[in-house]
Amino acid sequence: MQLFLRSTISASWLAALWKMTMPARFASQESSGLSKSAATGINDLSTVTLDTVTGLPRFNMPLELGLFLGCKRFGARNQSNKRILILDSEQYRYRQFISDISGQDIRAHGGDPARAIRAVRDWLQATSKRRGLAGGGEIVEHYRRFHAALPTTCREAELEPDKLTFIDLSTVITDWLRVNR
Amino acid sequence: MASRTIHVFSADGAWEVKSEGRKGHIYPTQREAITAARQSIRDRSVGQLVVYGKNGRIRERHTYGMTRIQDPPKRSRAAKRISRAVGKIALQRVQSDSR
Repeated sequence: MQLFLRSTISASWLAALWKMTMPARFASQESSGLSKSAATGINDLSTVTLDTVTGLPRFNMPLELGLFLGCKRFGARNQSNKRILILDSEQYRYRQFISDISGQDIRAHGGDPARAIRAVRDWLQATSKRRGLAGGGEIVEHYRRFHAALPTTCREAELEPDKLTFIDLSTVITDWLRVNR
Repeated sequence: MASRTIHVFSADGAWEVKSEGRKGHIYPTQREAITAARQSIRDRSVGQLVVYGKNGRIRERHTYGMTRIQDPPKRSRAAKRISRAVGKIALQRVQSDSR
C-alpha cells in the first residue's frame, strides 16, 4: 500500500492509521517504487501550493498521483486493482490545475485535520473491509490529544517539534499510540 | 472516551493499576498488579497494558484484541529517546490524574 500524504502532522497521523489498517502492504520506497508496489494510495492535493522562495508551484503530489494512476492504467494486470483516495482542501479546486483527474474519487477536507481523518478512516474501512477499525470521532480525539502532547514529548526527547523528520514523527506517533489508546 | 490503556506503575512502595479517567487500585506486588490489570482487560475484551519499572521506564507493553501498531518504515536515530519521552509523559499524566 502506498501513502502519499506526508507533509504535515495530520498526514503522518493518517499514515499511522493507514498502517494500522493495512500493515502487511506498507512499503518504504521512493515514489516510483511505491507507485508500482502499492495496492492503495492516498494523495492530498491541498499540498499543491506556491513555493514562498521561488514562487513556483510544488508539484510532487500531482506527480506522484500521476505515477500511481499511470501504473493502474498501463501496468500489469494486477496493477489495475489499485485503489486511491484523493483529498483536496476544496471540492472542485483541482479543476483549476489538474482537471484531467475528473472521475476519480476526490474528497474535500477544508484544511481541517478532523475531516481529513474521517475521510481517510471511512475510505480505509470501505477499502480494507477490516472489522474493528476505530471510529472517526475516536481517532480525531487521539489526534487532538497527541497534538497537545507533542511539544512536551519533543522537548523531553530533545527534538524540535516543527523540525521533525517524517521518520521521527512516525516514531513519536507509533510510540504514543502504544501507550495512549 | 474512556482510555483502553491500563498502566501498572510503582506508587509509594506498592503498585498501582490505573487507566486515565478511572480510579486506580493499589496492589502490594507488581505481579499481583499485572494479574489484576490483565483480568481487567479480559473483562473488557480489548485493551493495552503498559508496565513501568521502578525507574519509571516502560518495561513491558501488550495489546489485547486491538490492532497492533507497527513500527515506522525506518528506524529513527532518536527512537530510544522518543520511546523514553513518550513513556515518561504518559506516566506523569496518569499519575497526575486524580480520579
